[in-house]
Amino acid sequence: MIINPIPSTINVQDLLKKGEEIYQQELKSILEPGNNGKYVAIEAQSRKYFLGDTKEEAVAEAKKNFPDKIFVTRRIGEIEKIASYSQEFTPPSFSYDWVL
Amino acid sequence: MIGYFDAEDGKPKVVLSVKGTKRKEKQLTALFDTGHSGSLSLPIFDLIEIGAKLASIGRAQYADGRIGIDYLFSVKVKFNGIEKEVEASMIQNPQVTQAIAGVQLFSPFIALIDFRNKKLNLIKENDLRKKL
Repeated sequence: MIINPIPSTINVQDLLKKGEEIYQQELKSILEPGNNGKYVAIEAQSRKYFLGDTKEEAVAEAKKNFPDKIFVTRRIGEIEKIASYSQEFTPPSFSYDWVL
Repeated sequence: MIGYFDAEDGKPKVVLSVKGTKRKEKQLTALFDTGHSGSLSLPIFDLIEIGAKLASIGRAQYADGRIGIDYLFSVKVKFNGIEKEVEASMIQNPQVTQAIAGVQLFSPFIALIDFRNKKLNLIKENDLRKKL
């Protein structure tokens, strides 16, 4: 049995691409440079967005309006840098075999 | 008190209970990392075990320059008798089994780390002011 915490109904790459398109086409000119360093959570279907000082804050704000959606997050301005303990990256197409 | 210094590695640890969409609640010890910018990072198998719900995805750059995806999951966390919902990031390397807690998780508590005496205490700001 294959168990993966990422729902199979979600196409991660497509969702990321759509989120980035919305950011580049509609949000970049509004949010940069005044909000650089903050985070935005984008609901790709409605194209609505929510801001936060941290990624968690932006997502928490977005969940108040869309409790069941999956958001695309982005650091406003430069891309987010991730700490070393998350470095060992497994490509998003991974799956794990787990015998239950 | 939920914090202690691990005698094996000498690092500060905190005891937490985490819960996802399943009824099961899991107790775990997390490394308390004052440099952690978020609330909590959980190993992938812990997220699977508790049935944590995916909340967001986003591109991020790793220390070596590679671009990866950062996943946040909605998790309920219990500590010191309080429960809060946080967005926990996924530790994607399946070999990493250590959860990591950041200072943001413990708000409104302030963490006092006594490295000399190997003690870790969480205290509310008002209570700390009373002691000073």
